[in-house]
Amino acid sequence: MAENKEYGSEYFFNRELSWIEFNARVLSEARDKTNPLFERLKFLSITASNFDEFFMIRVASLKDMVNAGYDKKDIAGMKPQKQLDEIFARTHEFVNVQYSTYNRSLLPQLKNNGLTVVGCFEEMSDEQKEFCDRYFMDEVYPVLTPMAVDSSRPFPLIRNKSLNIAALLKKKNMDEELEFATVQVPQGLPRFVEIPGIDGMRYVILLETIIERYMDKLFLNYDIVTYSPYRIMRNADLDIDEDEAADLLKEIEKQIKKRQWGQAIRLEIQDKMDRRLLKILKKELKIEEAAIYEINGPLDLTFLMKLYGLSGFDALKEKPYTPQPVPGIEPDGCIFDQIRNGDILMHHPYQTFDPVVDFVRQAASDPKVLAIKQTLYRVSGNSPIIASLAKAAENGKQVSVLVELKARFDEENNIIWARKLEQAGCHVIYGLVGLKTHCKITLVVRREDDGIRRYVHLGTGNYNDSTAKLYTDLGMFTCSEAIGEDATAVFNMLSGYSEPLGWNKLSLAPLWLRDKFVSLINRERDNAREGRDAYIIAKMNSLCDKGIIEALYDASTAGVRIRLIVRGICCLVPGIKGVSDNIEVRSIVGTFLEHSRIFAFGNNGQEEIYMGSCDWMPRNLDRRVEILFPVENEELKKQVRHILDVQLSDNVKSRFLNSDGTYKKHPRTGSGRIISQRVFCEEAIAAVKAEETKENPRVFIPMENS
Amino acid sequence: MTVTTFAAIDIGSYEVEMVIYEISSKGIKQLDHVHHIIALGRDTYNSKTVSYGLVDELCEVLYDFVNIMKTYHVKNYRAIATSAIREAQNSINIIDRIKVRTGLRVEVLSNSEQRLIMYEAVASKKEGFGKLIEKGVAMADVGSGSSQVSLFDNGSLITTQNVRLGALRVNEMIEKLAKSVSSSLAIMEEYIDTDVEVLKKLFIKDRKIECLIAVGDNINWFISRLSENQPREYYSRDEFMELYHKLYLMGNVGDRLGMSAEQAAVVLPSMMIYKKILDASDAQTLWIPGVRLCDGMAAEFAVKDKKIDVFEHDFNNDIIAAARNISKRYSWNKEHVKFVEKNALAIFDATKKLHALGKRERLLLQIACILHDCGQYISIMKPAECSYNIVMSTEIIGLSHLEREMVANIAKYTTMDFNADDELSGIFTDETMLTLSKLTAIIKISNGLDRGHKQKFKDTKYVLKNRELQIITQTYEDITLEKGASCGRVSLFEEVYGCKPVIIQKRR
Repeated sequence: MAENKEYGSEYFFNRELSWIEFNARVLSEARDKTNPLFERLKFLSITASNFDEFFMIRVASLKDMVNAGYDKKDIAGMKPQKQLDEIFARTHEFVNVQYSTYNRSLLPQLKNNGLTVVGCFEEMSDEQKEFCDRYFMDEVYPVLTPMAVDSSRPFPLIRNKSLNIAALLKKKNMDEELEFATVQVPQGLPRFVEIPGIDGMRYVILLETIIERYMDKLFLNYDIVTYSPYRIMRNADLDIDEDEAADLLKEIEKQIKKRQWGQAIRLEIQDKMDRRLLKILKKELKIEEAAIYEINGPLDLTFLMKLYGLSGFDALKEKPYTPQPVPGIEPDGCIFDQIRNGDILMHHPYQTFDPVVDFVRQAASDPKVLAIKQTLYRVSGNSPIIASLAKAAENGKQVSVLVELKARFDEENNIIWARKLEQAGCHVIYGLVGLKTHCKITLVVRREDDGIRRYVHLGTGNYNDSTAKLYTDLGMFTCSEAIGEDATAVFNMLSGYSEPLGWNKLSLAPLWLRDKFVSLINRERDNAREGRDAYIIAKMNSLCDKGIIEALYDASTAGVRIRLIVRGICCLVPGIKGVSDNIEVRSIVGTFLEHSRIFAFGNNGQEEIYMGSCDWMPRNLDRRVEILFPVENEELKKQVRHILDVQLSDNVKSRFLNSDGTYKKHPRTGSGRIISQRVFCEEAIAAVKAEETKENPRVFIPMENS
Repeated sequence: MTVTTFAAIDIGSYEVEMVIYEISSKGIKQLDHVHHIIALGRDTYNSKTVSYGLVDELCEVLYDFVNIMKTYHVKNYRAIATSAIREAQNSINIIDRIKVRTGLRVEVLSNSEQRLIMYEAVASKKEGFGKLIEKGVAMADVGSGSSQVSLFDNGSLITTQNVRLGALRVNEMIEKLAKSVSSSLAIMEEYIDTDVEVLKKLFIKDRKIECLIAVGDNINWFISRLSENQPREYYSRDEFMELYHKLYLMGNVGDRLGMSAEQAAVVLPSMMIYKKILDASDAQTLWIPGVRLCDGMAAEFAVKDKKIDVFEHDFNNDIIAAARNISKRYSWNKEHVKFVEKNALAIFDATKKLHALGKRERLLLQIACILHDCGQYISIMKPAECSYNIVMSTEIIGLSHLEREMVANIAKYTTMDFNADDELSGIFTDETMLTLSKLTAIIKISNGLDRGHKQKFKDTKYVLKNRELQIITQTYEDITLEKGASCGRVSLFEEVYGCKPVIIQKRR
């Protein structure tokens, strides 16, 4: 097998800037007037929370590199400082667009539709003011902790992501000296309150707007000179030395507390902030000019997600979709019997996640079940899966659960579940040193009359029944012996035993997966060179692995037709003459978060389709435990290929990547609007109907001529 | 259909592994396989004992194994330990620690017992094995401490030899000697060459070997990691050499192949041993059946406890063939050996009612007959002791260690006075002592009947009558010497069976 060619930095996009492009696509959904108004609020909120995470992790780690004097260029040839400069420049621009969308487009439209977000106190009626007076005194005032700074009281710890109000104070009847004070907007209270309406118009007011109104109540002996809200973001990348950490669980708990103390990397202020206040903040938080964002509007737009939840505006929202039953799975039947009838494919959230929950639930109380093994990465708040696993352990089943404690921002949550499972008697493993366990696999071992049989669920998404309603993912049930054996080997490996000699069907990162992908891509390349029809269709969240991209370039050069559906980051540059002119990259941003990973290879007419938990990113291929599994059942293969085809035909929500790194909308041609996510919804409903009529065939009895 | 689960645990020199099988009339199916790298052998080969820390780790791993067995509701298991524990001075303590901490009973196997299990694992692959050994075939089982080379022809095992060339042992040795990587490879080659040379001169000689069966954990790893395609079972000599060179030139094996440091350290030495044996045998093809010790344990369990037909191969023939081969090397009087064997077995069959022994004991008697006078090759003065020593230092695959000792003693006491009170009773249990005395009594008579080494007794019949063993023979020759030798020295037979041997000479 020939090695792949090397390509210079001009053949790659920087991943951070590509990510900002992705957020821009989400933002353009917020600006898209064809979307229902409240959906637009939601998209805007997502751009805000995306940015928070981006700063806490990506910007923070670039900062760390700069601080440590690390000067290596990335694949696009940019040094860390250069990347930071670009990021700050682009994000300032981006924030302006965010707020102009909010102020000029969304606020007026909300007003037109009967909802006012009160900007300042003076706009309110007396009744509304009275309501706020009461609300402040009863609910808000008791939980506020104003803090002043002087020689005896040092600058307080400002918590990461918290919203605060800074003020300059002057002692009443005293000299001119100004004092700095700050008060946190309580996180325990709702960010906005609905106040009494007037003539059919509904009103909401932001919590900080209320607090600002009563600032003088907080500092009784002072005159308030000026005040203004601000918000900071800190470095939140956990820095865990796993080799040193005796107990990973405890170490992570410790680090989570430390997260509050990380270096400040972003300061958001309202654009009218007094320069004297800003100077103090800048000095105390040690923040550079470029990292200060002056904002024309309320800080932290993530409250819009809550605003979306306001009842009574259903006409302004996408019709809620109910995930449909999966044809072939009787909700009340024995799931194991049904899997024995043949492999089953599930497409969430179009189809319900219930069978997966049921799978674990039935296994927990099935007398024939000997063992349940599962990987858990991010678990929902009140997870029925956790409850079933605990019950299974109590029923005497051997239950092994791999809880990935290192799942970002979920660490606290995960620790709680892990403890709970341990108490129930499950064997809980906390992942492998140095590797994140990202694969999603469940194994149920059952003793049946003719011996042991293994049932496996493999998926592209987490075992999280809440996100399964929002993320598009694929899952497969099978009791194939080959996959069952592999699944057992996966769990043995995760429990710390050595790897097996070989795998039947599964390919695993970090050891074998990269080679597998490269050899699949190179096989297409070789086919193309020999003049055979060769193609690759791959869908994933991010593409930024250099080795894979180089293999794709080689394949494209050889004439392989490559169509990629990459939702987020894409470092591959399409359309370079002689290098990537056969590669087409599109991104789909829709109501549901595109999350499934599907890989199809032409293989000279014998198409092969794989699914898995991994993106084409170095972290997925080198530092995580990931599983790629083949779809071999012909019927299932057809279904998965159909999913790809529908996504490729989407001409509304898909945008194409240009050679300059920007995205453009699908040039719609004659045929009608195709929104792939909507097509999947309709198909799921139709499939259930078809199944129903199959079971109760409607028979028309012709009237006899009497 | 009854389905049984069976766990096989193998405590090896650098790895402990457990395989769980499902055994039914459909055959043997593997359910689960876990293995854990732990270099017990390094301790044993360097310091003669296994350190406390490693024993502790071993117990922990085995305890986990027990839990996995529970998952499958396993009731039958067999746990064995090989050279690392066998050669450790604290082996008794280790076995006891394991018993106390995990409840597992671990058997320490002798080399030949261990090799038999591996051999059974290979033979359980009926499709490949039966046909292959019709022709000249060698089998190399390269372990950590030593390797076993066996030769087959005409469907059975001809000879087998243990050489102290083990992957871990070679590696430890070279590590101490070598100063650089490149020189270490050269030293390793030289070191292996000397032993393989002896093997070739004494055992392989000019036999035509068409195929080498390569077994052992390392070759399974090697093939699965180095083959670009799906690993196969058969490789031509050239294909194997190509893979071998790839490994030889690879340098940092561990990182390249995703192996642990312990594994990486033994993979090249073991492949070098296979390669040298391949060269010595001049075989053109390699069969890598991909079996491990655990497979052999499962096969043995299936045959013995579940009466499931796993083998087509007759292992008793191997034992007899191997014994004949040894005899061929040492015995100067083949006719005498043949006579003793024939008549001893005839007496055994005629006295079944008296001794109530089975097929296996008959086999032991037969082996003892074949080997009883090989000591004369060494010393005419002390043939008995020498026979004993030859048997004890010759590997007969298929006999357990105890059985080998029994055969050696029967051979020894064929010509020496058997006294149950002497040193033997300290070594064997009462039951074994009884079997030993029964078999020795028979061989003594048979040997006595050919005291003159002229095979005067022809067409002899043995009849039990009135508390007498009548030895009815037709011969015109003078049998005074033989009469004295067998019926004069009757004490043991009478003592054991309460029955007197009488020679009835019929002259027609």
